[in-house]
Amino acid sequence: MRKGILEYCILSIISRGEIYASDIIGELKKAKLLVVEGTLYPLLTRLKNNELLSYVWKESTSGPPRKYYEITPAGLEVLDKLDTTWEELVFAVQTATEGRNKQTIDSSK
Amino acid sequence: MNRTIIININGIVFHIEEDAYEVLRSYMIAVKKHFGHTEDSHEIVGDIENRIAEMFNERIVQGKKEVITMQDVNEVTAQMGSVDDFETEETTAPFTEPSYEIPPMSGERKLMRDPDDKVFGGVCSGLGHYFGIEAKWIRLILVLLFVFGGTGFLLYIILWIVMPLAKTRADRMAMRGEAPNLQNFKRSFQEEMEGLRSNFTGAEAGLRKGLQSAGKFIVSAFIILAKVVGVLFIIGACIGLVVLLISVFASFGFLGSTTDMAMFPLNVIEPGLRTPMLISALAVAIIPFVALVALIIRVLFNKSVMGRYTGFTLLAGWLIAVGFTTVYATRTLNDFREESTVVEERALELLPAYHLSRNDLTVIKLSQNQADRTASIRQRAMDRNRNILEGQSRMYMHIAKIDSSQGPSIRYEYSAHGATYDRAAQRAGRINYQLQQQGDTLLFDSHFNLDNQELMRDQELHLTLNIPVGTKLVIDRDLQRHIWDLPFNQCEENYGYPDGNRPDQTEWIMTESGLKCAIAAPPEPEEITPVDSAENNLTP
Repeated sequence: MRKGILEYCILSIISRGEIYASDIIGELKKAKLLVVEGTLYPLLTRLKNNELLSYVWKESTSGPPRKYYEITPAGLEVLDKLDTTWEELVFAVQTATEGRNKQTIDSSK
Repeated sequence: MNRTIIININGIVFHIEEDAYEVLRSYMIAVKKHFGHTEDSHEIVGDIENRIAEMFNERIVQGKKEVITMQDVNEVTAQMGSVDDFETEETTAPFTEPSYEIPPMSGERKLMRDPDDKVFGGVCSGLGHYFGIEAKWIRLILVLLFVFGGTGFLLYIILWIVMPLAKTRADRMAMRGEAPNLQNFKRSFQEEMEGLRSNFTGAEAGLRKGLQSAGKFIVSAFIILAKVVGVLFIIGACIGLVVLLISVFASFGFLGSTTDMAMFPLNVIEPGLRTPMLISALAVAIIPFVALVALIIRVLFNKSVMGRYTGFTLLAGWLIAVGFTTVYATRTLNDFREESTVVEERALELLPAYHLSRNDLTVIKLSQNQADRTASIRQRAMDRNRNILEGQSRMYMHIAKIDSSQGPSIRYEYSAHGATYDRAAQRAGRINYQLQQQGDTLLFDSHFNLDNQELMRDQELHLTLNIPVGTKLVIDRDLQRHIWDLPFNQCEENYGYPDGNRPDQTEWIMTESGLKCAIAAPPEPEEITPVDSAENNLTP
């Protein structure tokens, strides 16, 4: 499950504005979605190859030049659809789990 | 004090401790190896190196800490994650795989019924998953099979019984041939995303996919056809096997019972060897059959039915059975090699007329003074069962003309087969036949007898009755089938069927030109009554 969501989250984070890979990691770590950075790069490369992302090289003050990622129009479109899917999924899961929660409360009473 | 090495990552120079360098180097080698097989590996590895360089850079404080230590390397690689961490996140590459129809396979699919997609029992969708085609095609084939001949129904029922229901999620994934690991559990959400993404794939890709699946469909149609044929073959083979076993047991009795096993071809076998021979002949026939079925199952369904040891045991058993059967069959055949005929001639009391009648040994006759009826019946029945085989041990008779000056006689020709001429002759001599003469009545046994321990070796008995010219013969109707060369029908017609039935006996007379019907036109039939009651047993 987490993998698909991961891409959704990455797209969402990048859609906020151009961002550096380690900042994306920071966000994902905060959300406890991704623990190691190494995993992020293949994902970013894949999203880039699917033309959902693009990047620009920017000179860094402390070290080598950095890649800054930004979302493409195609990426935005996909993100839009993913939003709908996600809402549907959340609704589905909520609907499915609602009854059960009630039941467990009932049975605990 | 430590030695340091100077390295260069993406154009930035670092001083690194020697042991830390070794660790970093092996880490990078592992990373490169891991991404080596994917496209874009160069870019990904570049990104990772870049990031490592950056993290190192952050750790260096000019003037205070200018060397990368073991601790730095460990912390950086931990943050980056080990290759194992990539592994679990990596294997399914959702956005680069061109097709989602084929999920990663664990190599083997399980044939199970699909509860999520069912009409009756989920058999068709289960088959569909197994063969990798849509369930509707299987349904179509099955409906066609049902319409043309109704086999589809039987097939469906059998498959319903045989195929287990895929209850758990792991079952369902095994059914689709997906490895039951985390990636595949994750896949459902990705599939959802893929569904959306497919809007962005070009028309060209769609066309290619369509062609691919058309090709796949043709291939899987062939596979299915082969499997259906295989299944039908297996069903037919099993039915055949059951029929074979039933008929064997019905014919020869159950294994171990000896009394019923005297029937051909078992009566050519020595009694003690009959059961082993039957078992070994069955094994010779059945084992290849079982192996064939197992092979078909294995080839078509990729499922090993029997283990290696079972297979070897069966093979060994088959070879032993073949050896035993061959050796014994050769020995038995060898016992048929020589034929020998023993001829015996006996004179008959000279009488102007003889009445030839038959003593039917297949009918159990009881005499009135018999003390123990049951025992007598049993004894006769056993003799009949073991030794008198209709057709095989029937007596055949021929009536020959001799000159009126010679006395009447009867000639016995016993013949049998054996491994040597000597043994065949001995065996022929053991044929037991009885002919009784009571006055002018000659009572012929219908069959000859073999000893209880005697084996069937093509024993035969031919009688020749030498009758002088001028002698009258009255032949009973039931003896007709033992005499080949007389036109009984013609003679019976001469009688004209006075009471609408065939006459019980026909009268013949020996002339210079052979035996002739005594009744020329249709006049009244003549009755011959026994003249003499003196008993005269003639036993060879």
